Amino acid sequence: MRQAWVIGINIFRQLLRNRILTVLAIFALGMGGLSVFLGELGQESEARLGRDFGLLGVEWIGYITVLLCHVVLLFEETELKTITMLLVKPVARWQYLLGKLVGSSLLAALNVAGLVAVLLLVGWWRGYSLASLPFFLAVFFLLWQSVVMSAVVLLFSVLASTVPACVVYSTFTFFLGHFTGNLVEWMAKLDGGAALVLVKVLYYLLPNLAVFNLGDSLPLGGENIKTGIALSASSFLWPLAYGAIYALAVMLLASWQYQRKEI
Amino acid sequence: MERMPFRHLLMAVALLLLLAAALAGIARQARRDQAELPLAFLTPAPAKLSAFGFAGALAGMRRVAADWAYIEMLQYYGTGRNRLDNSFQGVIPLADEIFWLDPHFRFGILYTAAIMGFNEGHLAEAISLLQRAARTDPSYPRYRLYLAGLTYRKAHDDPRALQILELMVEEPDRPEILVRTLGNLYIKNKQWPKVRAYWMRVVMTDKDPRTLWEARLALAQAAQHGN
Repeated sequence: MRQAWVIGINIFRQLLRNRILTVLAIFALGMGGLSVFLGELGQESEARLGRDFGLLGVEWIGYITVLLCHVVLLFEETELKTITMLLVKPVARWQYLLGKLVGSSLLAALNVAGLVAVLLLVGWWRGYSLASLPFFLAVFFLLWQSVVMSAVVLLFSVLASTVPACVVYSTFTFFLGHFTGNLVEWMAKLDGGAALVLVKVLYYLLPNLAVFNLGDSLPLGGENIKTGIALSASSFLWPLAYGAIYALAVMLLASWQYQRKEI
Repeated sequence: MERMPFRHLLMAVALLLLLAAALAGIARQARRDQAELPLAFLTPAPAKLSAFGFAGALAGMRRVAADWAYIEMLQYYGTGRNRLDNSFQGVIPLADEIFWLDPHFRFGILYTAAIMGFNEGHLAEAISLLQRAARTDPSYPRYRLYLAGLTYRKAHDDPRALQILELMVEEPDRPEILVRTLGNLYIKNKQWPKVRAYWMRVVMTDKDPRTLWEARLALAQAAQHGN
């Protein structure tokens, strides 16, 4: 475990040196600007719009961060062969993969923290406050989603071996992970038959990202508070456990495949 | 890891995925019992639904999609030539979309009902929207207040409608458009002393540029009518 942590910290430093952060900082500022622009369009509902579009930005930046991390690392491994320097040392391959997960998650946390700081500053400038426990909880669960997606992207980077394939498979999974829950209901309503079976298979195989979306289910303050609702601990603990177990399954598969791979 | 045979690994992964699916089911159920928003497609979708609204509902981004529909409604209502479209008729499907996407978007629902009912004369649609909203969110008293105002308006009982509107504009987070609506109703009813007193108070207390601009016009109009 300690080796995986050390690898993770070093991967985090390596990613920082690759100037990924510059690209992501520009993206974060763009998202901050977009939430100001849309909030301005929303006139008297500016606070609500700033918060909702801000959370959307947090989700996207988390995913794009982990995707970029693994894509850059995959490129370096396959084109520059940097991995051989590490694997001649007494480090198991699964430890290296775990290190990649740790490093990319740390960078995602750093970026999300940066975007949240931008959103809080924007709120302060525009005269509303986003700083509330439900908002930070929603951000935390989106970050947890990024960790799960990091494991998924890692699996695809092992399976695909090329950068475009990894990007396509991962992004497809990211979008389907949002859709499947509602698709199942929609198909059931339409009496979908074979399509319903297919959607159900996808639903159980792909990560169910809807469970991490507290933005749509928590009373986030402002004018949209449903009074008398206090969410129980189970609303928070089950998604955490789900994310951990799903990521473990994916990491197991990725490690097994990586072990068989010729480098 | 290197010694694990493939079928053992497959069994382990399958078991973990099954466990994860069970956990996701429990997580969804726990959330469903307490969620602010019901899951999409549990309630019938409106007849007219934008592509963004549909995609937002499917992707579990209903608040964002409702915000987008609300911006679209503001843009539509802010474009003067849409008045030719039977007094901004296009607001009605957008109001239904906002309500379907996020039935707890209180400000958006009140704002839309106010412009449909008080400003554009789509009273039946505004009352229907507020009735649905009050059924979904019965703990919020303002829906009933707005309903009362619109019902009096529909019955052509203007004095009572004005009384209710006077209560509505006293609410701290009322839509700004109500302030202008009430002042314009005083002008329409030629209650010039009330026009002067009301708009003077608005000038002293309000900060909205458009409301202040209308206040100056109203005061100039009142001055022309002497005392």
